[in-house]
Amino acid sequence: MLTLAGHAAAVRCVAYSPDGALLASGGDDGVVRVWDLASRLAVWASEKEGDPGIEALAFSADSTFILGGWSNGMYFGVAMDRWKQGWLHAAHNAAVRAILPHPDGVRIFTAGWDRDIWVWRLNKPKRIQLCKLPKPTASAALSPDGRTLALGLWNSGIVCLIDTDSGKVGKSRLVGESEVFSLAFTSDGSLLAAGDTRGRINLWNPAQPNQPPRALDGHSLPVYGLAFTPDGRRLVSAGADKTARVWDVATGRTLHEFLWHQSWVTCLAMAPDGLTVATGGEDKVVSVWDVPE
Amino acid sequence: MAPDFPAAHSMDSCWFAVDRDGFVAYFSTGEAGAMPESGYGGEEASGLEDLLIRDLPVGDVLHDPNGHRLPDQHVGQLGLHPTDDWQTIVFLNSLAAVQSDIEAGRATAVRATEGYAVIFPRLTAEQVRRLTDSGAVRASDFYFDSGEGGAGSIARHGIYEYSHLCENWIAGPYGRSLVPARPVHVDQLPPNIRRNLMGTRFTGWTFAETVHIQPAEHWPCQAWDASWLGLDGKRHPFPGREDEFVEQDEED
Repeated sequence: MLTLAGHAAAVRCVAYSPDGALLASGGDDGVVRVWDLASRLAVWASEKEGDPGIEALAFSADSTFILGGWSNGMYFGVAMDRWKQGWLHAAHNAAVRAILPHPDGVRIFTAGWDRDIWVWRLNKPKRIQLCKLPKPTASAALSPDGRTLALGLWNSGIVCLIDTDSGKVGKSRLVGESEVFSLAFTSDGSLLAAGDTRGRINLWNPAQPNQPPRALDGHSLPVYGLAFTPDGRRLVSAGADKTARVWDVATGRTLHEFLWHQSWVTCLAMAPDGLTVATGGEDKVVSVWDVPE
Repeated sequence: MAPDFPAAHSMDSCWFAVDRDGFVAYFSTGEAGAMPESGYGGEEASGLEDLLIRDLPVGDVLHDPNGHRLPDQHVGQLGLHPTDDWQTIVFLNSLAAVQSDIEAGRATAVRATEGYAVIFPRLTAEQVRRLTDSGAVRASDFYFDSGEGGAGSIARHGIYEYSHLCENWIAGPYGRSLVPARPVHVDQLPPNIRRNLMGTRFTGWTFAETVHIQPAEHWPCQAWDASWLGLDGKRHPFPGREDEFVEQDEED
């Protein structure tokens, strides 16, 4: 397990570059840090700009920009060839909750605590509203084909599935009484995992919303991060109980339970090759660890 | 910190804190309780209280008999008195002594962290005698249903609720009066609220395991009185108010 330290406050988001060589993290200290995972060296750290924290991070599909969202609703891009801020746009009237680059390499979706979902073009200031939700976004995931945006609504057990072309809501489901704070699709889009505030993970086929979900119970507190391995056989989860778990998707059994952090885990990302996972914690560190077979 | 405390000391105030594991508690000063100088307190905290009650889903609460007494008080020391004016919450080892009251609608059973709890809208002398004679009473206290688990209680929205225990004679400890059945984790709240709440953080322990809290043992605090009462039962002056403390001692 590799520990990456440097943040002065809780880590809030982690993201792998599309080739898996770089890892970016952002936190309540308002700083974005980028590490080269092969050398384990810090590549770049942003200047702290005022009070807001970094709430969401992603790499553009072509690896030219790191995209970030602040707790004050601003959305920014950092040009990776110069390590300079490329743009800064007022995106949301509340904190940015998620940034999701579309696999087409053109569109980028941002979701905020203000209930808006915006569509952006890389490096362009113009935005189009995809939809306005009845409640703020607690969690978000984009299907691998980019057609469906899954959104967990704050203070409800509802997961909305939004058509990314039309913005229409379809096939939403009430997962349970507890709000969903983490979502992940399998790489073929045939399964959607939703982690809720009671610590339960529900799995279902998003194309069959009337089928009852399969429940994975193990976490004792809210689940804040989820990711499937590329082959869909393993699911990794982490959350407020400080643990990270590796699940066998077929049986629903916990295969491994890890305690990498001294405080609760706030976020999780899986490397594109599925071999490692990065978790960020309230303990200010990022842990990068191997996904065991 | 909003400037309404301790100047507006004729009114209750409140503040919030987060525990080691990220759970949130609300503290009602009851006028004299100490309030941390930094963090979510005063008018700002009142605004947050309204917001959380409005936005967070409603759940069940558990009443804590130990949070109604000081750390060195035995539960049996709390008096049980006839009253027409106030509701009373009574903590019991058994419901047998109040079963007839519950069945007749003269009392309502509520959930408790230990044993049983019953709320009486009024208490007659006969009821007090019967309860006392039963030997089943663990503790009792006044009960206000605008808070304390009633419709207006923030604990019903996942926030631990602590109340000041020492009337107005000193800034005393707070007692955990209500435990939410489903506590809200701070990361479930919008980032602007989360960041402010984390400014007052107990890093060593959890609200789930801690019945009594004296904030003056942890942070610089403001209070109406010049002194505070530690969990060990000893009085201490607030820094900078030592002269008032000595004067109070001489008056006492």
